[in-house]
Amino acid sequence: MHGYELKAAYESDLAAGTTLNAGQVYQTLDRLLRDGLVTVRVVEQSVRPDRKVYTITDAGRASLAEWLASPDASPPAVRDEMLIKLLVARRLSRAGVGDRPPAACRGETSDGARCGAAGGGPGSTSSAEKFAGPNEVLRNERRACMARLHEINAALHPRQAKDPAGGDVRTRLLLELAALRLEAQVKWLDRCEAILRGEKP
Amino acid sequence: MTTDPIPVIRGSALTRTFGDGAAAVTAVSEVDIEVQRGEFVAVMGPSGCGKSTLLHLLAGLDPPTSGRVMVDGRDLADMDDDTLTLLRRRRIGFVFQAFNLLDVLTARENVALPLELDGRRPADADARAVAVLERVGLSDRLDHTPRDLSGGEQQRVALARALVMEPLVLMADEPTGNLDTATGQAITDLLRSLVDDAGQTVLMVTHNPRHASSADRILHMRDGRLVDEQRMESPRAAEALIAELQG
Repeated sequence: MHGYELKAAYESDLAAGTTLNAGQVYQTLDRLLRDGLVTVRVVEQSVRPDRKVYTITDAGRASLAEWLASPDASPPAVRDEMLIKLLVARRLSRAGVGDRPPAACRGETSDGARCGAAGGGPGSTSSAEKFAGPNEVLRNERRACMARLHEINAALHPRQAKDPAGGDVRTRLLLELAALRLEAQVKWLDRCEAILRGEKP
Repeated sequence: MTTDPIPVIRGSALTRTFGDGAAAVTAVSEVDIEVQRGEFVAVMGPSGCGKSTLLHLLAGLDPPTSGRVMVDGRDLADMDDDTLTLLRRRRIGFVFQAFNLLDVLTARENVALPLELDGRRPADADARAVAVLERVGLSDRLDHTPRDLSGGEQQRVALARALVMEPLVLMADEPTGNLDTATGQAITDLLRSLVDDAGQTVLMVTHNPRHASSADRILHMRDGRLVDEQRMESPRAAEALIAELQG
């Protein structure tokens, strides 16, 4: 294969709709060449410029086999933005500047939030700027996850589409990955809520 | 919407307490809930939050300690036992986590049973049962008994039995709780298609985020109270979603 074919194959099979930087393709091929994982030969062409055609070596095949067979069980980054947000909200809340009333009680009723919502401690006053408390942070994240899950379900099972997005295998695998990660996130939010609630104020 | 139609289900200030005195446990506390015709509503929450109790109150399976339940504008408290039985049989379809099918009856007999109890001629009941079983994708399992059916198939029979009376509302209590992920998803997709294709009103209780996300509206329950309500927006085009997921 030559570089352009590799780029096209990546874009159509692995990440449809995205474009791969050509520079990145040739840089990667140079590195593979340096490491002896591919060889290159130049094919002369009469009309167009010469093409470099790359071929995988035995060492390259062994490297590919090893990569494919090894698990990718790396845990998700522990420095999670949501975790940080939650810890900041908890800190502010304990310092007495968090836990503002939920949106509905501030007159923002468009999304149907209820006043009885878990955020908004009884003692909160409006004397100073109040920040979202842990419960509001959790609620907002949960809502965002559920909205995204709703979209994923719809993409997998559109109402009348003859050829749903879920029809092609690559897209289905991608949507399932996203759905399961969102599901895990919602379950984690529930755990956070339970753990924070068990804390002594 | 110009005028508010009568909700299919309306619960007002619903409270249900079990036991008394110091041992009293309040499973449902001051809950207000409405379900409109053609809506798919999911009640979500952890085990023990009172969501199943709430569903039982709304289905007339259990009386509230205080508060009112109106089904199609009629107060359950005003009904005598016979009227309530008829209402439950004809207007409310109920699906349980544990399927609750009769083991000695075939799929078509299980589904035809509510019609026969309601006085329909057996031949009519059977024809109707077969049609509904076909709707839930079981036309090749008509004469199987529950023990010869998979969990997912048993739940489809239970769904058909709940749908055969053409209920005003289908209530499902953790309908995917006994099923694996893929089978549970298929049941939820079936509920979604009943709403989309047949205008069926569905009220489902679940703790599964993905199954709940199929609904049009999600109510979050904690410690017997509804603490949040989320109305789902129409999804974007699948292409836009996929592009975003790929980053």
